[in-house]
Amino acid sequence: MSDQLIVFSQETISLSDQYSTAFQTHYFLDVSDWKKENITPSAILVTGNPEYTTRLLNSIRRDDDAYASLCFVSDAIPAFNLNLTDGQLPPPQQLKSAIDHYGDLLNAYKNSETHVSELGRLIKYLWLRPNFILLPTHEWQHPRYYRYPLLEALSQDRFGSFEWLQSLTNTKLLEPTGLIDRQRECKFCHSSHLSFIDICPNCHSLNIKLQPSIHCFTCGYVDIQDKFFQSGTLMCPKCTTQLRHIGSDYDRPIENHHCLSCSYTFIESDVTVRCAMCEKEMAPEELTENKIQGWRLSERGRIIAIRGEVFDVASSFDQLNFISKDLFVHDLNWLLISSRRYRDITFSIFGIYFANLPELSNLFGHTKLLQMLESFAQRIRTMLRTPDLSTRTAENMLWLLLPQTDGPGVRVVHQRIENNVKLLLEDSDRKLDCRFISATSSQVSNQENAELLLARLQGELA
Amino acid sequence: MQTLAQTWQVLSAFFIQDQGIVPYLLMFVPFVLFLELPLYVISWFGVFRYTARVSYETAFTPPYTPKVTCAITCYSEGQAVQNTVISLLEQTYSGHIEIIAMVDGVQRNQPTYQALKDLLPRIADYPKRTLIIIPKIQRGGRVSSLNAGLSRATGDIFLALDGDTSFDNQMVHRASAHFRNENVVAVTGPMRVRNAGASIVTRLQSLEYMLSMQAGKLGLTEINVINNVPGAFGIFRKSFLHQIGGWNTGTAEDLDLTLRIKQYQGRHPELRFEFEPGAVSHTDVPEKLTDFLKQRLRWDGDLLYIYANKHRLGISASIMGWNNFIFILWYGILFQIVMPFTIVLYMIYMIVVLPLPFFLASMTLVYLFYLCLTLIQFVLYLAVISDRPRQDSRAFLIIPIYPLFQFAVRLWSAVAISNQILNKGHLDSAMAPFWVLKKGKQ
Repeated sequence: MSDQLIVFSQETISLSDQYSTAFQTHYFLDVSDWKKENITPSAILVTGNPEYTTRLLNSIRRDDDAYASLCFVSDAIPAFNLNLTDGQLPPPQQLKSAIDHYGDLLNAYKNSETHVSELGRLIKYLWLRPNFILLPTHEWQHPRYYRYPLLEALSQDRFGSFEWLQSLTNTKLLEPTGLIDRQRECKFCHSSHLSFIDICPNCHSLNIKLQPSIHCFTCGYVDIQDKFFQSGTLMCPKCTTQLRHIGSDYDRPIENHHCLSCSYTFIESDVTVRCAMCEKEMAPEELTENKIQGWRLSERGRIIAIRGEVFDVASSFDQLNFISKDLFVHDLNWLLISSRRYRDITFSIFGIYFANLPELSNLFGHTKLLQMLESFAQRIRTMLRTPDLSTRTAENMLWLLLPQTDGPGVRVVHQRIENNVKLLLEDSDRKLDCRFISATSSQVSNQENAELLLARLQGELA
Repeated sequence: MQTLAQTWQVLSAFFIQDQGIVPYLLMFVPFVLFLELPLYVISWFGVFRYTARVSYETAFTPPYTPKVTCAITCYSEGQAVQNTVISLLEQTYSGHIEIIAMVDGVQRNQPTYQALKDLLPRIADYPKRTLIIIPKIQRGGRVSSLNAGLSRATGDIFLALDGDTSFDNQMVHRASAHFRNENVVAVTGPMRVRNAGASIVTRLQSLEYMLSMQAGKLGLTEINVINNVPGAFGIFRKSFLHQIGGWNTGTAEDLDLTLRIKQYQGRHPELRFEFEPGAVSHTDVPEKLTDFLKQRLRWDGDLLYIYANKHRLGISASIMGWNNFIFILWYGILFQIVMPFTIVLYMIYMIVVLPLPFFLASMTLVYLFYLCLTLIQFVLYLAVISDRPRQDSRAFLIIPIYPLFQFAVRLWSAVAISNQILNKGHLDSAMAPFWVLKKGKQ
């Protein structure tokens, strides 16, 4: 079956013959027309003026079925929509391979019930675009100056992008890629439209002015400059000394602000912030800081994409003794401390490092490799005893924590795992470069904690 | 010891026994009578004329506040240049003051440039004051800096100032008032020594500035024969500066400019120089004796260069008017150039001819004469001119040494002039690079 290319266009256009021969093309004016036909697209092309393109892209990304489709444009589009497209329409050959690659990733994606939720949609969208970076656009009319059009579309405008990002960061599904801006926001309404106002530190009145003053060296009198002026010369009103040269007769006190409401004289005014949206006032230090960043799918997000576990991630790992890194480190620390206190407690830690994953990934494709590794991890888990724990600190770094296992015990484990690795790539001439490291509690020095131990072992492997 | 005893005998013979004092004193007559005393008398006559005029004429001063440009020539002053700029920002003048700071050889003088740039944020605190910094990458000397400032100036009155000089806050107010009179082309004011307390050398110079720069200039200007508008503190009508083409290359550009203005006075006797006692500037003078001598070597040598080389043809009664001509012949040529050599020759003559006790006695008499002269001038100065009598009276203690200092300065002047004649000293100046100086008229 050839690929379906859906073209949305305001006017009748004809793509070059190369596209027509390689793809089955269908022309539509609007999303509703296309939905009636019920054609599953391999790729979509949107062409027309910027308003039209913007409207179409937004409705495609908000669509319950087609939100993650490959979507290209043929004209220049406003910068704030760049995140919603997959770029300019490539030549047919490249388009073909992009569709194939997309299909591969789609096969690897474990389509659970979860894709109906916003979270599932986001993970699927990001999984299908491996190097995608979620970027904000700047809009001065927006209360927060920045918005994420893709997040708005995928959440179907159900909640604010920043709140959603906060929960995505908390669950470690996204990771930041680069800091774009850092801004202060109103603590009440999170608007960034703020105005900073100088006020009197004594009575908080707005009515202050800069008023140069003079300090007479002869008698020490300080007052505003106007009181010293007498027919073009400066004369101290108290001691009537003529003040002729700055530095030797007089100087300028640094208190040169004057409040017209309470007559207070001061060096530096206070600053208050007024929010333009909610009109509430606050002190500058009360403002909340908001980092504007680019985001991409995290390691954890990718694992969820291929295993289809979006909800209750921790409990599904529980039965397999697979725990989060933080918990693993915590347990390791506890064992370290216990073994130092009680000599009869021994344990071993065993690390498996896959050194040539990037090369193999190029060879078999990312998806197949991850599946392969996943099945390998499954096998290892079947070998594990009930109290054994495992975790992954990176895509290619697996750790096993084996309580009550001494040196000889570890060597047995080592042997069995190595045999498993050999089975893994029997049918291929490419070898998985797999390295192992182990340490038993007796080899760990007293200064080391879990983090240091893991870092040291990983350093030895790399 | 014996010599000293004999000296005393000679002196007591003069004073106590009154033997032959008249013919002896007549030996000094040519000097004193024809050269020095008249000059002092004329200058003090001018001072009294000024005080009388000021106290009888009640000045009517309607507001007159043209835009003023202060051009500061900066070189290696560093942080000190900030004092100059701040003292200009602090002026009580109600008109606009445009400050242009020219930093010569800016790559070498980064600290000066930085110190000026640090001031830029503070300008906003002063209404009607602006600061323009001109960094000059190629060093061109003082003259090039001044002309660069002149070309950028937008004020009607142009002040040529030094980066190591600061000013009383009424300076611009008092000086600019003179330009209401359309015939006034240049104004200067008293220069006071800012670092008087630093050493004995600066104390002596401080007293010298009081008596010559303040009293002397005031008196001479009153009869319209000012000797020089100093380079560190000259105030000009800008249109006139444009008329005569600004400053000319070569050393002693200030004296050169003064003489060129004077050369207009033959045709335009109404043009006037003025001295404003209320426009006070404060400058730093050399603290070390060697630096002081170097400075005077340059100043006194340049005098000859200007009089004898550059303006040889310009010094004539038909060009600058009789009063200027006579004054320059007398003060400039005789007093400043001929007299130092006469003193040296006279000294040698006396050492050879007179027995040692007589020589020492003569010198003592000369010393006493000048001591009295200085005392009288100083008391008059404190009573009539000084704007800071209490501060100035501290110089009283230095008066006993002052005649010796003056004598040494005269002798050194002879050295400086000889250096100019033999070595072309005007080409060896720190004021401008050599390649600039040698382009001037030799």
